[in-house]
Parts: sequence; structure tokens; C-alpha cells
Amino acid sequence: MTNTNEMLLEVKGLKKYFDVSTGLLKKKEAYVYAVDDVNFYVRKGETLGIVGESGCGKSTTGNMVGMLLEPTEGEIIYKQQNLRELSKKNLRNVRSEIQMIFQDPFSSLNPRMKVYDIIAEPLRTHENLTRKELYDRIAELMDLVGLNKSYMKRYPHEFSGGQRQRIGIARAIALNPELVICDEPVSALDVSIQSQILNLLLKLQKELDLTFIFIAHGLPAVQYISDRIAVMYLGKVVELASKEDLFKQALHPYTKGLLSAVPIPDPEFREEEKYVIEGDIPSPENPPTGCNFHTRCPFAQDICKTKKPEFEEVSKDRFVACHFALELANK
Amino acid sequence: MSNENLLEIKELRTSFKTEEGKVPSVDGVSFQIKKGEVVALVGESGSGKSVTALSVLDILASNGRIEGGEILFNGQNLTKYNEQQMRKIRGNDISMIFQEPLTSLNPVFKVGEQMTEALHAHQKISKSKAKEKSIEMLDKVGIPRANKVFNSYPHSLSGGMRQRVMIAIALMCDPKLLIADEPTTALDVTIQAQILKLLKEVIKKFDTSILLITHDLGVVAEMADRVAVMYCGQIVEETDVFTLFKNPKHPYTKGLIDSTPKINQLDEKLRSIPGSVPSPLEYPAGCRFADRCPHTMSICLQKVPNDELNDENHLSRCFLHSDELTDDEKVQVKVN
Ligand SMILES: Nc1ncnc2c1ncn2[C@@H]1O[C@H](COP(=O)(O)OP(=O)(O)OP(=O)(O)O)[C@@H](O)[C@H]1O
Ligand SMILES: Nc1ncnc2c1ncn2[C@@H]1O[C@H](COP(=O)(O)OP(=O)(O)OP(=O)(O)O)[C@@H](O)[C@H]1O
Ligand code: SF4
Ligand SMILES: [Mg+2]
Ligand SMILES: [Mg+2]
Repeated sequence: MTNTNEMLLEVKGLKKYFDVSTGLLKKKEAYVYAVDDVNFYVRKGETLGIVGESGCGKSTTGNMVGMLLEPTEGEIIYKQQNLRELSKKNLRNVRSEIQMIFQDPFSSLNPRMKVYDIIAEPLRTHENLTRKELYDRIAELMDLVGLNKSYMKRYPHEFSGGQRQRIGIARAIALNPELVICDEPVSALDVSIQSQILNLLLKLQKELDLTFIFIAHGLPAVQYISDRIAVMYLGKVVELASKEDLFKQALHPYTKGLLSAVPIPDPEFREEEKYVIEGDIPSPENPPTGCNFHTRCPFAQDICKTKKPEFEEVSKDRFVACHFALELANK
Repeated sequence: MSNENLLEIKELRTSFKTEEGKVPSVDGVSFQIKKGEVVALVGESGSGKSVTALSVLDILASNGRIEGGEILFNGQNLTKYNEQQMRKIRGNDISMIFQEPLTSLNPVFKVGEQMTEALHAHQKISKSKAKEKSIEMLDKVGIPRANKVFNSYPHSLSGGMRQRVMIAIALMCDPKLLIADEPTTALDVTIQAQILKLLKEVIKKFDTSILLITHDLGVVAEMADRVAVMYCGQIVEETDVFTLFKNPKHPYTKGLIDSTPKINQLDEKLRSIPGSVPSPLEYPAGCRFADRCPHTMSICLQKVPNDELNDENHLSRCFLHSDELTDDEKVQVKVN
């Protein structure tokens, strides 16, 4: 993993509120606070993992960085340019540099297109290649992702889930992107296939010098592939740290609960005392005041109900949003 | 846990008729569950876990059929039971909870109605007594404001609450066997932790036997006493949970464990199993894992490895453990 320390992407105060107002003339105003003031950066060559439970805003964040979704507020700075203020020409370039891979390899590939054309599509839009060059490039890409070249003329339904994810990956790397946003790329796959894809992503990252944002709700997969991990809860990043720091000592009570909730595939650990977070995730339409975790947090004090904790850098590269993070460190 | 077998499945074979041909979903599966024991059935998608469970309760889709084998429950062969006899068993002696509680809870009836119905179906009990018992059960499975939930519709509850309701319904008639098919797969991990904790309490309090179906080795390690690993409609390894993780024998089990990321081992490189699961219409003739296995020998392509427990009560359906092979049969074959 190369860490050049060079900043590739910076996200500042990013928000997305979905308008779900109902009634005549939208009388009953309502919003889903899907992403609510998210801040992070990604260095060139690293993998930032984003983990959190269903509905916490991971995909919405990824889609905004991938320019599929317009933010309500906030800045996305990519290579020192604000993505929301790009000229037409620059936008086209940046679009080819930022690519996405999605969870469901079944629905993200056009069922009526042959593999060849699926991978060719971005190349045809962005590059002027001769027929021969195009063919060679596609053959090269298929080889890179471990697909047999003889499958070029096949349709997506003729492939297994893992193979379809490889097709999606080949397409995503076709234009030599800089940043690839992987949104739950292995969640729909069987265990034995998940590790094939994770290892493929790691290999491609090394060979092609890629930067990843890796989104998943499963901590084990995120842990495996990431250098740093952002933990999200109800539209906010509650903790962001290097993988080592996070696993050595989580600072946010939610992170502690998340770590403790993951069942460890070794029965020798089964008797270990677990810290189980009680209660349900509140609705993002009506998030709790103050610290939005206070309704489930065993350490909550009065201040947590009224005052929003800042997302602060408590040591180098380590951020947490909890009024008592440092006091709780050893609990 | 006692030594008596509550459920004994012998050489079960279940298949489905489809346009492409007959799908042998469960192909010679045998295992036992003792009283108070938790047996996990683990394996990848399509390996036949759910079909095994549905066969036990005889609730297969209409194109499915049990073609052979025995399902002994308390010594009685359920495959010989007619529909009326089975109805007495279902929801009473054996109950089942599913992955997606919304699909198994009826959306048009209130939670309470569905709970009391389960009782009335199997017991002579007054209306008020049934209500009292239901609310008590909701309370036991950790539902706050049980009175209110009793009068709610399923869709107004969160995923975790619905699964608690399902568990409450399943426990209403004091079942001897609970079949839990991926009970936490659709849930978020903090909610999964709550439900697993609840299931552990259920085991302690009610002394129920559990057939736990999952593809998550973490859940297996946390919950099971014994584990059967399924691959392509067959059990390839079966042993107690500690042996399975410490000393797995079958190459598929080893591959599965080695390809599972672990949050307590940060620097470990994951291995993968090459290739993918074959379609049930194209199962290989010999060992069904032969085309993905790192140790395939010439015999593996020709003969089917046997599925008997050894002296240590450990099964591994693999020729590597056979000491009667000729030199020819032992020749390594490169398959992937
Ligand atoms: N187009 C939309 N309109 C209204 N609400 C939306 C829309 N898209 C997403 N949401 C809501 O925004 C919140 C965040 O959704 P998002 O898809 O980002 O979550 P996620 O973390 O990716 O969850 P998952 O793990 O389930 O994929 C959810 O409450 C979701 O229901
Ligand atoms: N109604 C049906 N008609 C045809 N084939 C079926 C039917 N039900 C199940 N099968 C097939 O039987 C095999 C075993 O299915 P089963 O549902 O038991 O798998 P599973 O191990 O539970 O997988 P999962 O982890 O995906 O739930 C699969 O190949 C499946 O396609
Ligand atoms: S029988 Fe042969 S192919 Fe099958 S798992 Fe054992 S060694 Fe591998
Ligand atoms: Mg998502
Ligand atoms: Mg199933």
C-alpha cells in the first residue's frame, strides 16, 4: 500500500437531505437527513473504508463523491478542484478518473449486452481507439480481472455472481481511473467468492496504483481491505482512524458496540463478555438531538441530549465525535 | 443436552422438477440432533440448507419431492405422515423461523392475532388466557411495551422487532425443535447481536433443540454445539464446533475458514477457493468439490467419497483420509 501522503480527495461539510414532504403543496415538510455534515479525506494510493449499518448514509456519500448525486451542501475537493464548480471539459476528465463498482452484479450490468460491449462502453465514450486497439484493451482487461478471454461474446446471465463482479470491475478500471468507489462489492457474494474479489481488488490497487473508497456494512471485509476506516451512524461519521488504531482501541461507544457485535469465527471466543448495543436505530427523518447516538449509548450524560459533539482530531489522523471519547478510551 | 436423538435424518434425498431437468437439491444427507443440542448447517448459497429444513416440515414448493430417506422425530418417521398429522407437528413440536420475518408474518393481521392463532391451533385455551400467554412471551423475547406490540401490525415494527415477534410465535407452543433458517442474515450487525443473545437465552431457558442454518462461520462459532458443512446438496464435514475450527479436515471446510476475514487477525492474508459452485444440473461424477480442490487425486474424479463418521465422531467426505488407495488412485490431478 503506497502512502504518498498526497491528498487526492477532501470532503467538507457534506450533506444530503432528501425531500420526502407529503400532502398538497408539500404541506407536511419532511426530510431524510441521509448524510449530515460528513468530513474526511483520502490520500492517493490508500483505501478508505466506510462502514456502518443499513441506512446510515454510506451509498449516498459514495454517490455524491461519484457525482451521481448532487449534494445539498458541502464541498468535494478532488485534486484541488471543487467538483461542484467544474468546467464542462474538466468534468468529463474527472468523470473518467472517478469510477464506481456496485453491490449487485446482477442488476448493474445490462442483461442484453455482451461482456465485450459492457467493457467497451466507457472506452468508446471516452477514448478514440481502433477496432484492434479496443479488442486488445478488452482482452487485457479481462485478463487482469481473471476472466477467460473466450467469454467475450457471452451475456451476463451466463456468469456466476463472482464472475459478474469481475466484469463490473473490468469496466470500472477500463479508463485507468484514479479513484474507485466500491459500494458493497462483495456483500451479495458467497464467502469463498468474496475473498477472490477482495484479493483481486488488492492486486489491482497495487498494479494500477488505484485509490479506493470501500463501502460495506460488514466490518470484517472492510477491515481486510482498508488502511483507514470511517464508521458512520445516522448520516454522520462518528469515528475515523487507521485500521490498527481502531481495532486496538475504539474510542466511540458506537464503534465499540459494532466491534463487539461481529461474531468471531472461532468458538474459543464464544464465552467472552459482549457489549451489546440495545435498542433500534432511530429514523433518519427524525434523528435524535445532540449526539444522535445518545438514545442507545450506555455512557450518555445530560450534555449528550442537547449538545452535538464536534468531529475532532484527537491525535494524528484520528477523529471522533463523542463528548467523552478520551475518558471512555479505557472502558 | 441428553444422549437421546430428537431428530435423526437418514440419507435424505429431495429434488425439484424444473424445465431444465431434475435438480437434486439434497442428495443423501444424514445427521442427528440430540435433545437440547444446537446443530448448525453451514454452507454457501444453493448448497441445500433450506431445502433440508423444508423437507423436515414437509413444506416444499409444489415441484419439490422427498425421494428417499427417513426423517425420524422422536423415533417417528415423518416422511410417512400425512398432511393432517404433519399439521399437528408444525408450529407445535417443531417450529421454524425464517430469514425475512416480513414474508412469514401475515401483513393483514395484528401481531396478537397471529400469536393467539398459533396457540388455538394446537391447544384448548380460552381467549383471555391466550392473550395473557402471548404478551408474556413477547415480554420474554425482550419486546418493550408488549401490550402495545400485541395490537400492532407487523409493518409498523423494525426488522429486529419483527424477528423477535417471529421467535415469540415460534416458542408459543413450547417446541422441542426450533429450526432457524438464517435468522439474522437480513439484520444489521448490532441487531444480530441482540437476536443471537436472545437465542442463547432461549436455549438455556426452554431447553429447545435448534437446527441453525447459516452461511456465517462467525454465527456458527458463537452458537453451535455441532456443525454440518454442506456443499452441493451433501454434507462434506460434520463434527463438534471446537474440532471443526481447530482441526478442519475437508478441503472445502478449510477453504471456507481460510477465506473468511477475521476482525481479530488484522494482518492475515485471505486465501480463496478458486472457481465457483457447480450448477446442480452439472454436478461432477466423483467428489463434487474435485474441480475446486487443491488436493484432487485421480480417484476423486471417478469415485464418490463415503460419508461415515469415524471413531472420533467426525465425518469428512474426502479421499485424503482413506488409507486404502492404490498408487494410481493417489496420482495428483491439476484441476484449476
Ligand atoms: N432517493 C431517496 N429518497 C429518499 N430517501 C432516500 C433516498 N435515497 C436514500 N434515502 C434514505 O437515506 C438514508 C441513507 O441511505 P443510504 O442508501 O445512503 O444508506 P446506506 O448506508 O448505503 O445503507 P445500506 O447499507 O442499506 O446500503 C436511508 O434512510 C435511505 O432510506
Ligand atoms: N422450488 C424450487 N425449484 C427448483 N429448484 C429449487 C427450488 N427450491 C430450491 N431449489 C434449488 O435447490 C438448491 C438448494 O437450495 P436451498 O434453498 O436449499 O439452498 P440454501 O443452501 O438454503 O442457499 P441460500 O444460502 O442461498 O439460502 C438450489 O440449487 C436451488 O436452486
Ligand atoms: S475427495 Fe479429493 S477432490 Fe474431494 S475434497 Fe478430498 S481431495 Fe479434494
Ligand atoms: Mg448502500
Ligand atoms: Mg436458504
